Amino acid sequence: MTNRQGAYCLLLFMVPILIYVFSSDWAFVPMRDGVLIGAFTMMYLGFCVIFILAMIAGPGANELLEDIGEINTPGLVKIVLFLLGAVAVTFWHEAYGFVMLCSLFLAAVSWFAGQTSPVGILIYSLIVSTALYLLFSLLGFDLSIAPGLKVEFL
Amino acid sequence: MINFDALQTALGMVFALDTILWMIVGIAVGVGVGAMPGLQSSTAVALMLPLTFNMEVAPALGLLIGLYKGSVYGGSISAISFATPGAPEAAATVADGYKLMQRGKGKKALHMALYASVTADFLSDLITIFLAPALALVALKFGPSERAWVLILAITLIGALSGRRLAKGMFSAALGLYIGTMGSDPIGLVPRNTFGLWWMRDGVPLPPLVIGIFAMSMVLQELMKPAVVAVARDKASKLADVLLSKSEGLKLREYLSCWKEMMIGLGVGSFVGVLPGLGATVGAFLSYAVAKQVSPHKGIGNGALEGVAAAEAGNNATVGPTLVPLIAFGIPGSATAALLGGALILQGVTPSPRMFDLFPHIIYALFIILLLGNIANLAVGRAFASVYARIGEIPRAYLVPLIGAMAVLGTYAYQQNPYHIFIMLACGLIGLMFRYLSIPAAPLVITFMVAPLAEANLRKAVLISGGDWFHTLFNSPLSIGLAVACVMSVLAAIRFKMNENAMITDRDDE
Amino acid sequence: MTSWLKKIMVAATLVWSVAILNAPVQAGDYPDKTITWIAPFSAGGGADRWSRTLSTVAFDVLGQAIRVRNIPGASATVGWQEMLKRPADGYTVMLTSPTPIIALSTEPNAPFKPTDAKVVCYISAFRGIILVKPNQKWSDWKGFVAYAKANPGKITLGSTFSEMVGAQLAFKSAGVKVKLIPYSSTSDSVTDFLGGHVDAIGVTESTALNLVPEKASALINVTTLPLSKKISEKLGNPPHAKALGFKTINFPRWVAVHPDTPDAIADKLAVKIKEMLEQKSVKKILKKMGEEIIYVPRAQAQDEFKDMVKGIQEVATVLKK
Repeated sequence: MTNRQGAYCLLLFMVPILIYVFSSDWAFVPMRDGVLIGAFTMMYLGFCVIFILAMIAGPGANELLEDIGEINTPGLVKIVLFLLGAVAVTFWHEAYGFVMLCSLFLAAVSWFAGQTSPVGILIYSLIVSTALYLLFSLLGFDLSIAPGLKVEFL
Repeated sequence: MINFDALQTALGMVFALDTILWMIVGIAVGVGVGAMPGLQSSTAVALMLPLTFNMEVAPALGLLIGLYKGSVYGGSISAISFATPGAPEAAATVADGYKLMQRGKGKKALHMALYASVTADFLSDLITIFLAPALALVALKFGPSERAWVLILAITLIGALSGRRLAKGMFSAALGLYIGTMGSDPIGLVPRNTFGLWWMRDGVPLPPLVIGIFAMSMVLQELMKPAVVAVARDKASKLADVLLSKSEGLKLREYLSCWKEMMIGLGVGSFVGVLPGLGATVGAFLSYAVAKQVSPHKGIGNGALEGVAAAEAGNNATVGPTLVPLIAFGIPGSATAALLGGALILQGVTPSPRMFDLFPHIIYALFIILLLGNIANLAVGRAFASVYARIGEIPRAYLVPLIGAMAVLGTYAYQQNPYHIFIMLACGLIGLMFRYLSIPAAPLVITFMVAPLAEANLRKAVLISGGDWFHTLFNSPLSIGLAVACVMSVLAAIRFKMNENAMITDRDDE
Repeated sequence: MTSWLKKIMVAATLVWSVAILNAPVQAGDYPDKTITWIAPFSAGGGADRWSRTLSTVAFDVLGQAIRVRNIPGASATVGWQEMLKRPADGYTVMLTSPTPIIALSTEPNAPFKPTDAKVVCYISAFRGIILVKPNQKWSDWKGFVAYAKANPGKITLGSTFSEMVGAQLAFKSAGVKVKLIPYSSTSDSVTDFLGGHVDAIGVTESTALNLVPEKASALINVTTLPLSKKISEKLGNPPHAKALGFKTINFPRWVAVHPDTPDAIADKLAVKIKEMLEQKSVKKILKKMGEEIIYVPRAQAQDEFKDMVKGIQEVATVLKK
C-alpha cells in the first residue's frame, strides 16, 4: 500500500466523524460570546481533511508503507478479543473477582503472543495477576481475588 | 536579606535522622508508584498525606517532596523500559528511550533520564529560590490573550516533531486539536463533541490518551505479528542471560555531551512551569521539539541519548517553578503544588505572600529539602535503574501481556473510572493506525493538550474585551512580541523542513 | 469461553452472592462491615481530605473501617453513578459538593437526576466571596452597585462555576449586570485578577483571607451562610447578601447514600457522622486544615438540598445564553 492509498483510508475514517459533527444538534448553536459551539471542532476537522488531501497530492505519495503488509486476519481476531477482554476485566472484576479475570486475560494474551506451553501460561498468568493484585491492594484499591472473596489490607 | 538564624534552624530541621529517612521512604515508594502507568505523583502524595497528620513539619515535607520527585523519575522508568509512559510528562521520553532499550542500552537511557532530571530539577530549584518574587511578577503580565499566544507558539513548534513527511505530522496535530474539543464548551459549559455520552463530559483525560497512543498501540501491533514459535531451551537460557547479564551504565563523557539539551530543557521547562496551567507534559514536549530543531544532525527521535536528556530535563525543570505562585501569592500553580500547600496548611503554615516574614525557617527548610531531595533521588534511582534496565530483555511472549495488563489496569487505576477504558482502547486503535501509516503520534499529544487551553484563553480574552478580536489579540506589547515569535517560529520550521528534505535527498543520492 | 468454565464461574458467583445476600439489611446491626466511602474528586482535594480525616476515627466510632475511594470524572457524576450501581444498604456512602448538581443541570444526556440520592447530612459549607481591587471608587458594595448600574455589563467577574451561581443570583436581586468569565480553577482566576485582566473574582473564604486587604477588598458574601465574626472583621466586614434580602444559595459538603436506602440506616449514619465530627483528633486536623464543621441534620439538609438544586438549575440556563 502507498502513502496515497493510506490517506484514502484516513479519509474513510474521517467520514463518520464529519457526518456526526455536521449533523449534530449542537454544532451550530451560538454561545454567549457569539462563537458557535462547534466552531472550533469544525475548523479542526477541516484541518484534518486538508492535510489528508496534502498527503494524497504532496511529495512521497507513492512511497510504500512497509509495515502494512503484516496485517492478517488471525491478528485482527486477536486484537478484537484483546479489546473485549480489556473491557471485561475493567467492568466485571468486581463481580467475578480480579485475580480470576485478570489471570484468564493474561493467559489468553500470552497465548496470543506466542507462548505455547500450557504450564508456562498457567504459572505466568497466576504469578503476574497475583503480583498486580497485591501491588494495587497495598496502594489502597478495592480488588477481590474471586467473586466475593476479599482480603482486607487496611 | 537572608535571615541566618532562620537558616540555621532550617538546617537543623532538615538534617535530622527522621527527615532524611522519611525522604528516602518517600522516594522509594514514589519511584515504584510512578513506574505504574496511570498512578501519578499526585495520587502517591495524596495516599500518603494522612501519614503526615502527626508528623513534624520537616519530616512531612521530606516525605511528600520525596514522593513527588521519586514518582516523576518513576514515570520515565516505565517509558524507557516498556514504552509505556508512567505519567503523561514521560511520553516525550518514549521515542528515544525505548529505542535505546531495544538496542540493549537500557541502563544508559535510564541513567541519562535520571541525571538529566536531577540536573534540571536542581538548577530550576535554584532559579525558583532566587527569583521567585520576580518570576511571579512576570507571570502576572500573562493574561488570557498573552497565554493564548504562548500556547499558539507551542503549537507552531510541533513541525519539528512531524518526522519525514510534514503533511502526516500536521494531520496528527489536527486530529489532536479535534480530540481536544471533546468535553464542554469553555464559555457556555454545555457539552460538545461527546458523541452523546454523558461520561465524556469532562473530555478525554490525558493519561488514558497517552497510555492508549503509546503503550496500547504497541501491544496491539505485537498481537498482529505472527507468533514466533521459540524453542523452549532457547528461552530458558535467554532468561538466565537476562538475570546474569550486566549492561553498561552511562559514562561521564556521554552525560556532559548532552549539556546543550539539558540547558534547553532547563530554560523551556522553567518558563513553562511559571505560567499556570501548562505543566510538565508541555515542558517535556516543547523542550524535546526545540532540541530537535536546534540540533537536527544528532538523530533525536531515533534512539539518541540527547532526546532523553532534552525531554527529561524539560519535564523536571517545571517542578521548582510551579511552586512560584504558591510561594509568591499563596496560590497553587499545579496539582502537586496544591498538595504541598495542603501539607503546609496542616502544619499551621498558610502559604501566602507573608510566609517569608512569618515562617522564614519553614520556607528555608522547604527549599533545602527540595535541593536535598534531588541528591537522594539520584542514589535511590540508580538502584532502581539496574533492576529495570533488564526488563527490555524479557521474551516477548511474557512482556507483551504484562504491558497490556498494566495499560488496562493503569487506565482504571488513574481515577477508578471504568469508562476510561473505552477512551484508552480507542486511542490504542488510533495509535495502531498511526503506526501502520507511519504517522507520528507526538504532535497529536501536544496539540491535544494545548488546544483546549488556547481556545479557553482566547475566548475568555475576547469576552473580557467585549468581542473585539483584533484588540484582543494585540492588546499589549507582550502579545505583539509573542505574535511575532509565532510567525518567526513558523518560518524557522519551514526552513528546517527544507534543509532536512535536502539532507534526505543527499543521502538518497549517495 | 468454554462452557464448563462458564458453569464453574456461574456456580462460583451463585455461592458467593448467596453468602452476601443472606446478610439482612437492618439498622440495628449497621454497620457490621467495612463502609466504602466515595469521594468523587481527585485525591488531595477538599472532599478527599475530609473523607480521609473522617476515616481515621471510623473504627473508634462505628466499630468498622471506612475505605475511601476517589472516583472522580465527568464533574463528580461518575462517583455518584458508582454509588447508584451498588446496593442500597448504607455500605456505600458519598461525600460531595454542588459540582455534580451543576453538571447534571447542564447535561442533556444525564444518566440520572440531581435528586437521585438520599441526603444524610451536611458536614460543612463554603462561602462565596466577591473580591475587587482595593482603593478605587467601587471597592465597596454601594459604589459597586452605582458603578455597575451606570455601566451595565462592563465589569468582568472571573470565577469557577459555583461561586458564579452565587454571584449571579445575588447580583440579579440587586439589579446589577456584570460580564461572567468562567474559569476552571480558582488559581487561574486569581492570577488573572492580580494581573489586572479581570475586575472581580469569586473565591472561597480561605483564598479571600490570603488576598485581603493588600491585594483586594471583599465586596460581598453571596452565600446564605454568614461569615464568622472574626473572619468578617479580617475581611473588612463585607455585606451579606442574605441579610440584604437577596436570593442566595449554600455550597455544602453533603453526605448521601443510595436513594432506596432505608431511612433508619440513613438516620443512624447521620448520627454516627456527627459523632465522628465531634472526635478531638478530627476537630484538630480540620482546624489545622482551616476547615469549618457546619453540621446540618438530615431533615433540614434535605430541605436545603431541594432549594440548592432549584437555584442551580435556574442559573445554569442564564449562563448559557
